[in-house]
Formats: sequence, C-alpha cells, structure tokens
Amino acid sequence: MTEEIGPRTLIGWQGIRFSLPPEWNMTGFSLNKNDGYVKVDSTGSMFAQVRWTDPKQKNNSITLLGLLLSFFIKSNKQKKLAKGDTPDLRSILDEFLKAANKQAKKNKTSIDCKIKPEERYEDRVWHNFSWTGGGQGQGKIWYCKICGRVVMAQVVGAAKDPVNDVAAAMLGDFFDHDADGWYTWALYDLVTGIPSDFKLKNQKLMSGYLRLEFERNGGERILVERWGLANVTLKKFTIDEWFKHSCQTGAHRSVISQGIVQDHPAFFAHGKVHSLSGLFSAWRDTGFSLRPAIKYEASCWACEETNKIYAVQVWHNGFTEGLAKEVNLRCECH
Amino acid sequence: MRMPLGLRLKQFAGKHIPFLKMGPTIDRSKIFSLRPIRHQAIEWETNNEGEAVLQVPHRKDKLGKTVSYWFRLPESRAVQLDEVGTFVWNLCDGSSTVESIILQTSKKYKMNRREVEISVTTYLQMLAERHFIGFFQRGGKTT
Repeated sequence: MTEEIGPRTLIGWQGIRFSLPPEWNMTGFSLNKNDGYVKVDSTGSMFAQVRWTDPKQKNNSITLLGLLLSFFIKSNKQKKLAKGDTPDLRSILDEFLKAANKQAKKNKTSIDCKIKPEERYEDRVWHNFSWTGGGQGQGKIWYCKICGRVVMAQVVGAAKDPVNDVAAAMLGDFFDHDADGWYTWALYDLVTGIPSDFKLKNQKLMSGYLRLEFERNGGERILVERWGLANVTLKKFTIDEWFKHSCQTGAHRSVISQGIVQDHPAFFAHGKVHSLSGLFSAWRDTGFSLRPAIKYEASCWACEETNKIYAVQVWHNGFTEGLAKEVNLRCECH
Repeated sequence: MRMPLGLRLKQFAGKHIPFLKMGPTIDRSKIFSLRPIRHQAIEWETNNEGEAVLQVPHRKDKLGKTVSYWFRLPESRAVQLDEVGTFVWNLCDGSSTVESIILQTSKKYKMNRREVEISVTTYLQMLAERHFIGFFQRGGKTT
C-alpha cells in the first residue's frame, strides 16, 4: 500500500459519497441526480470514475406525447423488472467494457477484461471487474435495493500505479445513499450536508470560490458559498462587511446578530422577502400554495485553520424553522 | 511561455480544421519541472502593503524609441501585483520549479492543490505572455 500523507479526500455528490487518497480532486461531474457521473483525478496518472443510474427513474416529460411514451416505457420496464427484481448488471457492464474496448482499439491497443461472478449480500447485488491493456482499471458495479440505483465505480491508472490499493480503499468506504435523509456534498475542501430532497440547481466552481445552490419543491432554497484566501480578504474587509457585501442581507431587511458556528465567531441575519416581485416569485414557486418560502436566514464565518470564509443562505417557509441551523452544523470547515 | 508564430498559427488552424488538430506537445510533469525566472530588465519594489510594484521598461529598439518620442511615453510603466501575485513573483528567481511554487503557495494560503495549480499556472502564463518572466529547464535552454 502506498503511504498517504494527510487526510483522505472526501467526495460527496448527489448522494454518492466515497473517499480517496489526499490531493485527489473532482474534475468532472454531471448535474443530474438520477443519471450522473463524477470523475476524480490524482496528481499523477490515476483517476477514479463513478457512474450511476436509476433504472426506475421517472420521466419528466410534460408534453402529451412524452407522457404517453413514458407510460408505455414505464409499463414495459415494470414487466422486465418484475421478473428478476434487479437490473441486468452483467449486460450493463458488458456494454461499458465493449465501449472501452472500442476506444482502446482506436488507440491501437486492446484490453483484457475479467468479470467476477455475481455476488449478493443483504440489499446489494454486485460484480467486481478489472481490465488491463494500455493501462489498468479495477472496479465494481452494483445495484442497491434501498436507493434503487445502479452504480459503477472504477479506478484507472498506468501499469505501474497502485490501482488495486486505491480501488480497494475507495470501494470499501463507498456510500450510494444516506440513512438520515441528508446528502453529503463534498468537493475541494467544502463539506456540507443538504436534505436529500433538495436538488442542485446551480453551481460555480472557481479557483478560490465555490458556490452550490439547491432548491426543492415549494421554492425553498439553500445557497452555500466558500471563499479561499480569507487572510487576504480580511485585510481589506471585516467579516461583517464581507457578509453584508456578499449576502442579500440588505434586500431582506435583515436583523444582524452574532453567534458561533463550528467554534468560530459568526454573523447571522434573519429577514423576510419584502419586495412585491420577490413575494410574487416566492408564491409562484410554491405553486400558489399558502406556504411560500419568504423567510430568509444567513450566516457567515471565517475559519482560520483552513483560511476560508463560509456563507450559508437559506430561504424557507414557516414550517422548516431549524433548516438553516442544521445546514450550519453540517457545514464542516475544519 | 510565448509560442512561436508558426506554432500559434497551426494551433489556430487546428481549432477549425480537425485533421490539423495538434496533440499535446508537452506533458504536465515537464511543465511542472520548468523554472520561471524574472526578466532582468524589470526592476521592482515593495509598497507599504507588501505588494510588488514592477517597473517595466518600454522597448528600446527603433520602433519603441520612435513611439516613445512621438507619444512622450515615460521610460517605464508601473504594474502593481496583489499579495498572492507578489508571493509568486518573489519565487520566480530561477531556483524554484513550477511545482515547488504551487506547493509553497498551497501551503502558505492553505488552499487546495488543484485550485492553486490552476491559478498559479494561469498567472505564470500571463506573466510570460507579457515577457515579465521566462522559463528554463535545468540542462535545457531558456525560453
């Protein structure tokens, strides 16, 4: 096993959570929850890929033709799934390896694949697989009955790379769903927990600035931001000024207070959506129900240990009072 | 690092004509082993906030002299770097490799290595395009 210096990198995306050696970072991802992809690169030639799909996913078509098609597809799928209860993992894997072989042929190499027999344990069915040729890869494909996802994870590297060790550690500590109804979102030193029914609406991943925006039915929103180089920023602004400048505290006529988040002095804002356009859009987002997300809560703090500034903004309705507090607690800075 | 004109033209053509597309000419490890070095003609001083102010002289060739004379340009122009830029500028002394600069910046500002890698390489590329720095490889030649 290669020696690891520093803590392992935690990757969390759309309910998928796993850890990799230090200095590995996410370089590719998809925004879709039901059918997604994550790629994590090492500093050398190795990388890890995770793909997942939900075979029972709902079709989001809103046209008549789309609804009719989805009805027929759904009824066909249900018939197929009812026979075996689990999707045919072997055929999915064969298709994937066939595509990989085709790609290898383009590069004038060929790959030699080994697929181990199907194994079952509690709620999981899986196949382990490995391939060599123009590099090497080791991975696993499985179906989880709890979350209903088919997940395929593999570690790829050059012939000399310790792919087996990395894959064993990664797959031994892999979660495809969370038990408590909260998903862990972890990338580039940002680790936060968001309720699983929130969908990622928008993201901005820049060097020194990360922004994840989530939304759920009913118009409730969570916005998590992280800035690097806190020591440079705090030479020009106080954390209070930064909070007012970067968050929408003024627009919501917020009352500012002070407190503690993750053992750091923090500023909090409590306000409401006041503008007519804001109230209308909040009401529209709830589907014109009587519970619009017009309450606004925000917090901002600086973490000296990691030299980062964090800000969490939550728009919620009166029934989810503790949401902002819970997100703050789950936003790990050090 | 400024590419020769021919290479730049080929790269431009490759963007639009698929069979002229250039493959990667230099790999990551080679870039990281390069040593950035400041241009000898550039002088700099540090202001009260610890930020470097570079004095970049104008061209001394015939065209440069003519333009300076007719437009009454000063001898040099000042370029102010920010705190992180100054830190990287100070490391461009020819003894540190790109990788070592990335590691030192990552350590000093407690930033993720990947984030620093992107920022520092882009910044060094920008400095090189303006001819503020050049690169050399031990046992190779300076660009």
